[in-house]
Amino acid sequence: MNVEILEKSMQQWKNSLGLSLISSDIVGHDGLCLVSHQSNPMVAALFSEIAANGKANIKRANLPPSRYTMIHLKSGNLVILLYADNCEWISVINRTQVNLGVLISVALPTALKNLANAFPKESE
Amino acid sequence: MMIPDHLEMLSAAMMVLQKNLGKGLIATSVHALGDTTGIKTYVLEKAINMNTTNEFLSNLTNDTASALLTSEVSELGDFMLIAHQGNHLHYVVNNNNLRWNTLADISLVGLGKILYYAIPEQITALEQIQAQNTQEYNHES
Repeated sequence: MNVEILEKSMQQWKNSLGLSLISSDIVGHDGLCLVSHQSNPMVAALFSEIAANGKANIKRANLPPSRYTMIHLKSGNLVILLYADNCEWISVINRTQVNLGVLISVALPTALKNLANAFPKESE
Repeated sequence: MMIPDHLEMLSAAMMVLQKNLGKGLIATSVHALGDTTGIKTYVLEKAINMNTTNEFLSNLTNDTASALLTSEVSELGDFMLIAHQGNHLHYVVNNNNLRWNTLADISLVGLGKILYYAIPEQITALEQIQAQNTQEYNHES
């Protein structure tokens, strides 16, 4: 794991999403935060568990693993889960403040690429 | 119970979805909460088994909704979306009584189109069907 890449990725994510980013945590499989911005450990632990359940459901259904998940909440916020082999990146975003174009076309693809680079495959 | 008028409303809403997603639409199905049998289903790619897909998405959505319900964060809102490795994307539009599951190919339809146009129109369609159901139920009683 390359923590430096994770920290830079978090900075880029924060810069792209601005004030719409409420909290963001990159967590290991134990639910503990590795890198954070306005950390919310309770949210991180909850969605880490939701991500684990999701992975199990996807595996049972013989579907390709998930790259990311978006969950709309009744509060109006949007939770984005990005997946890597050894961690999940959990962000809560204010749906009314976020520029969806920036999120979809800029922030999301960059974050997924950075996350993959931070956890290179063992053969690489 | 879904009566013929509502099936027509669903058919019309599915046609709108087909227009919004174009060639990106692979399969779509509406089912009642607690029963994954499709009330109305369109499958455009023969290899897709929508019964299995409904069951998978129902388990996933129920697990998420239950975990959120016991937390102090918030409840599950109007939709949940899962982008898989490759080009397939599953999403669920969630309503008090109905769930609308869709499988799309995001190499053929942009995520922006799904989030900006398709999902809001699906939410509205389910709300209208629910309102119609409630109105009829009140009228009958």
